[in-house]
Amino acid sequence: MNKFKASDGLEVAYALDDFTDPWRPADTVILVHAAMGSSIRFYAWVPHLARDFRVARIDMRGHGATQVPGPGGLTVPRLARDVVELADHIGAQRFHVAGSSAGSTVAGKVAIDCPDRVLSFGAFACTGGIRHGLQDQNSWVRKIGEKGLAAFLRDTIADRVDLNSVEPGFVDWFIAESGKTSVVALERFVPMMRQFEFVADLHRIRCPTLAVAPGGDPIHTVDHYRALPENIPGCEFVVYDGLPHNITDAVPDRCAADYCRFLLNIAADKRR
Amino acid sequence: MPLSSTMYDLTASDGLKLRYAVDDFSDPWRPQETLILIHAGMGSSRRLYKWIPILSRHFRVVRPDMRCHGQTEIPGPDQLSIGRLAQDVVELAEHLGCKQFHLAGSSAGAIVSIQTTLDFPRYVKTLANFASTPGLKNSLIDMNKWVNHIRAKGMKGFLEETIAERFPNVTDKGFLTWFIEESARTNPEAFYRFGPLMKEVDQTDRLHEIRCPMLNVIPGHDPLGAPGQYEVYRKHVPHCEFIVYEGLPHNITDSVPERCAEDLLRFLLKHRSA
Repeated sequence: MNKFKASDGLEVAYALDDFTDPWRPADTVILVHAAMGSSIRFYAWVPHLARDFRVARIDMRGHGATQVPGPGGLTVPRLARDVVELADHIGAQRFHVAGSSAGSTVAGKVAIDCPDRVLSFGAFACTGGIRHGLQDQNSWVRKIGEKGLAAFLRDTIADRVDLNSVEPGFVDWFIAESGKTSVVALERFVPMMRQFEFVADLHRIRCPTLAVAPGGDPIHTVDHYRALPENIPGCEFVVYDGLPHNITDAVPDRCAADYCRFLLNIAADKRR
Repeated sequence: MPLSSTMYDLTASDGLKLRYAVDDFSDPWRPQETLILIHAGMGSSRRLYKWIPILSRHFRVVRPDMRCHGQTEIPGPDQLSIGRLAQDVVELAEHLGCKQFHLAGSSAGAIVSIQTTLDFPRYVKTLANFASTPGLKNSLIDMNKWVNHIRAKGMKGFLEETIAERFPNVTDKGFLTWFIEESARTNPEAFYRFGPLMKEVDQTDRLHEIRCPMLNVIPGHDPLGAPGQYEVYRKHVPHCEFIVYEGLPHNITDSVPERCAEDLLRFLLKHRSA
């Protein structure tokens, strides 16, 4: 993992993978993981993307190898700023940004705040705000406090992945990996995300946008996910029928292949 | 400078510091299988970058820089032999906690891979040879001519003057420039020892000892090796797959890297552990 110092002094970790031809300019893609995740959870996406794009994966504040911020250091605008500061750090004046679930909210905020920097927005399992979901995420925090994060994840795993289709071994790995997240950080992160809503700002996103929604999600209805195509001009909307919330983990190759196709189409349009 | 893989250190048993890259995007809950890729002479681990996206979703891919190449140190007078190069491969595997691995090499890297399989058969699950005869002893390469050419023109001058022979069908000037600059990083004094060493090697008489599955991918129009010299694999290796890339000269691993990596992946998935 690489690290850089954000403008408020917090040390932010990120991974960078690049197998593009060294003699050609290559666009940068920044991937923002879900809550309770880290850059590691995007590992399967990298081979799909890194031959054509320089792929940076950030660990959000309070997640992975990035430090837990002090009071006042955990807001969606601050998380979005970290993404832009990462882009600055790796020399990407313009970049594609994509996220999963809470990470897609952060990515969307970047697209809204920095239209001159963002080439495209990839929104995986992204609604206009999580408070209108079918579950009270604040109750997650209570359950995590009572049972521990790993037990909470095991109890609710069917909300996240289709247990009939994931490989044996995936669930244990997913829980072990997600269970590394700092509970103290999550107790701040989840209510903060629940407070945040950006439906009213989505129309300001003018870059090409791909929204991929799980079609069988117990946490959000497809109508919740439709907020993106309904508000973002020209947004491509894809529904993965029957799948629960965590599409980016359960079917990572499908997500990455769809995302790569979307990015390559943008590159082809640029050449025309 | 793009190409992102972090380089790691290993001290070989004779004290030389070796460098290598590891790329692994395989599913962490599955049994890990390791593939070691050995670059060609005048190359380094970096020259195999295009192979990684194709292979690393399925395998932990390890790319050492051979002695005399890349970021690995230049060996002392008694520290360079075909046996020592093979031992480096096994010591790297041991360093990574790997008791068995898949092994593939390009050109001189394939000669080292074959030697590793012959000297340490229990380590090697499968072997893949891209564009090499079993040692250069009988090849058409005139190593003295190469060495004299490099002495006269420098490594870069030699590469510039021979680039058309290596890539007659490649028109991407950016690639050709990159290939020359990348290969010209090779220390000429080190190559004056490495090249002639490869020219002394002839593994033909031991090929029958190779018991693991072996893939041979052969350039169909190679000025450096007569077609019959590649046929020895079919003749002597019991479990041998043989593919010819018709019309292509020697440097297939650079000129059609994705095709090479796809063929290697297909071979490896066929032979990977159940």
